[in-house]
Amino acid sequence: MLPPELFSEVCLHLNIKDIYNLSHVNRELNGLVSDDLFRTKLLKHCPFYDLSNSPHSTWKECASTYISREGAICKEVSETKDYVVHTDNHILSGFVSLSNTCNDSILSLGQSISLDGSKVTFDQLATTVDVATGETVDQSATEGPSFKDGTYTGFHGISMRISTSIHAHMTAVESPEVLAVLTGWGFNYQRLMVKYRSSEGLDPDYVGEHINQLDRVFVSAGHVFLKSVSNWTYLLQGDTFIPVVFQPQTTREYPFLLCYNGLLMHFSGTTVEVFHVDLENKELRGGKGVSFTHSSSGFSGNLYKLIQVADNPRYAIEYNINRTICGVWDFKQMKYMRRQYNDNRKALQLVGVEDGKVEWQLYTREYMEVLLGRRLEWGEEVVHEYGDL
Amino acid sequence: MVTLVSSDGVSFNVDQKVASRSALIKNMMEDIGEDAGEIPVPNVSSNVLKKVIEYCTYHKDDPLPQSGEDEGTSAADKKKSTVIDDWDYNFLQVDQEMLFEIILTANYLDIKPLLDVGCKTVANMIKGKTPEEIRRTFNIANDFTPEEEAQIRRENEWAEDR
Repeated sequence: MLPPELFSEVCLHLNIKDIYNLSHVNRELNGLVSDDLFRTKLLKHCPFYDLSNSPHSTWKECASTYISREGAICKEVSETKDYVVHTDNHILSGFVSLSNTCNDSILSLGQSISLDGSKVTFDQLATTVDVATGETVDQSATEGPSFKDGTYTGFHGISMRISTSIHAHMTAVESPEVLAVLTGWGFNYQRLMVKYRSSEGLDPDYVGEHINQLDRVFVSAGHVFLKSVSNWTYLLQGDTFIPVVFQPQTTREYPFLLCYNGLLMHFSGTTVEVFHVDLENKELRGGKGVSFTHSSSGFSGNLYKLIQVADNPRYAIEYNINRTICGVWDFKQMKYMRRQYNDNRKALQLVGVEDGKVEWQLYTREYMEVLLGRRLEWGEEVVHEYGDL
Repeated sequence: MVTLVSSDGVSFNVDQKVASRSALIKNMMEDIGEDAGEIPVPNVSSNVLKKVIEYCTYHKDDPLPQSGEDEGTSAADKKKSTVIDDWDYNFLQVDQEMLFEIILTANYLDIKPLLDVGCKTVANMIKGKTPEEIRRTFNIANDFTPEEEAQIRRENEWAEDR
């Protein structure tokens, strides 16, 4: 075959997998494929990868892992298209959000980085709420990422370079299964990296390049959902995003998509559709839909904004067009608690689904607290703000 | 006109413009002056030299690649692309021995675009193939010991399992 110096010339045109295969052809080629060659190739993909901080002892070993995880992303998501990006910071609790603008810094979950002088802000940090169950986690029991004195310290292995033209959204998730999600976008591509807690090592489990329609990412019950700017919501399974829920939208609607404990909920303004994505029974596409409508639920119908409570994603507060609170959703019970405007000042109206049937009842606040086994913080908020509940 | 003489003594009369596709010959001509006369090209046999001259003749009006120092980003970017020009593709539809000879000659005569396209062609023959398929393509014997084979299989299982 070719002399060594020309062999390396050929390797410039090959990808990691090809080089890996080449090293297994015969002894001569095995000798020619140096660990340095893998290093060069790998660092092109993950520029900040640190071998000494990884479970791998050689770059070849690292390449082998890399190859096994490389996968296709479904076509619809990866097709090139102009898109509108939500720069809305309010995503879910359990997220650290490093967002908006930062100047040519390296964002890296796990490496200590200084963000001095840049306009990086953390909205929320190291939440104490378990995203999957909605229950509070003992902070001391988990070692979460932290941001102190301009230095971010946390989980390893996921890094990306941020330039002035790229927005970054780094999210560290303290769900039991998913450790971190990192997204970023330039003008025509986005990148998404996911690291599961169960996997060893420091490199991300999933790296999606050129996800051009990424709208937002949800992590719920250990699953990573991707809402695209088209009508589909996808679920990350292995290396592929599988479309699970289709939500046609019109311009007259105020669509909101929320997620709790594996339930995807689509609020259109006049209707609510709840999609149960049953992962165990592979009932993915569309799932089981439960629909509320305005007339049967007491759902206000003039939904302006729906915000999942930052500290407890189990609840979402609904605002109407006047930006006053009109109700609260409890996603664990799948109940909607409507704020009263009239005479039932001591009572709350509840709408919920039990056995597929929509129920409508009046409850007192005391009853509610017993039912939920906790105090109604949201109630306090409402009383405090409006004093007439 | 310059005359290039192959290792087996065959002379080729070549236009200066064509000959200067080779950075080596171009430098030689600049050093020796206009009347370079005969330039011997040892290590290159007449059938290979003929092919290489064919390439240089077809590409004689291409912009010359930047001088060797310029290995910056643009060159690296170009290398990434594995797209091969139609004419070049057909030109390189030769047997493997000839292909390797052409690459070696391109390297020796310093004809960067030909070296690139040659290496791309070889790379395309390797791409997406398993080690066994690569062996068959290049007629390479598997000389790993059974122990080494077992080791490789373990590595591969590890890679494929996940």
